[in-house]
Amino acid sequence: MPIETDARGEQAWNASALAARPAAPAMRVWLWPQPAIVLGCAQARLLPEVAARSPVSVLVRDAGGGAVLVGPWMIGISLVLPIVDPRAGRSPTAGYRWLSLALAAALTEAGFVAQALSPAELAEKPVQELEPVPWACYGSLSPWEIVDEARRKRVGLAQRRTRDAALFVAGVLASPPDWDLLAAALGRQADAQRLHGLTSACLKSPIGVDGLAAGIEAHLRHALERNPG
Amino acid sequence: MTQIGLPDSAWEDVEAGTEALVDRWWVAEGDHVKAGSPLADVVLVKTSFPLVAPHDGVVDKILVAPGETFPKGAAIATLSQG
Repeated sequence: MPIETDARGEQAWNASALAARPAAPAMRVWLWPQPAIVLGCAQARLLPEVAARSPVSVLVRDAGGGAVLVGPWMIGISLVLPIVDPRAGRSPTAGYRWLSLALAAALTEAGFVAQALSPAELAEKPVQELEPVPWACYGSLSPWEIVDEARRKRVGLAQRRTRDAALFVAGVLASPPDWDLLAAALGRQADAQRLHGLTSACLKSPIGVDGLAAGIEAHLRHALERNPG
Repeated sequence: MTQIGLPDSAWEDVEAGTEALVDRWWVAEGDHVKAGSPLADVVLVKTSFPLVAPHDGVVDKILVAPGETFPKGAAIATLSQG
């Protein structure tokens, strides 16, 4: 069952599950009733200035990537796998594959276009593509992230790997986020319009997000059991 | 002297020319470290890795500063036998 949390609650679960050196997969599907900005670990030095500008809480996650605006528009997935589980992959890129394909299948089953971009597909850059927005997680594409039919991002991924375990986090754009809020907090108002063009939410409004989250969780739990690694 | 960096396996399927980023150092030059203790956090393909000391030793040189990037095969520090 998807769990309502705040950004700190999710981060705390992620850190605790990774530190526990799990012998079996552990997963949570999250809903965030309240918006918050979550900076990537390499953006930690931006925290004071973003927090000063932001009308919502701001924190830094342990995983890489750009800034994320969590909130009622997003469904989060945290998956911790023992590092020896084949689904964790031998490398970061390979590690994203299993979760990405399972998530794309879940979204397709729910009736949404969802293409998991393999490294080779990612390299086939279309001639006409908006310039990326590198400071935002959803402003650029990385291997195995999920896009719609126009190559607009639907699911962002990040990861933290230790000697014992790998933590994968995914954020599904369930309904349109407030990109203007995020861009303003980062001091990059001019990028908001490009973020609208680079992304594609599954639903037009937050109505239905709970049901989609439940469907995603059921699909992923079934896939984890069916394919024990 | 041991060179500290990301193993080649971490770069599998990573687009040519991509560099990793040193997020933070947990140690300074001259620090004595134990095997398995954290040295630095690095980020590659939206993935963060804690790099740990492969053996007891002394941090000899830090070659890549926080916020700077490094290519495949590059050492980011050297560690002498303790």
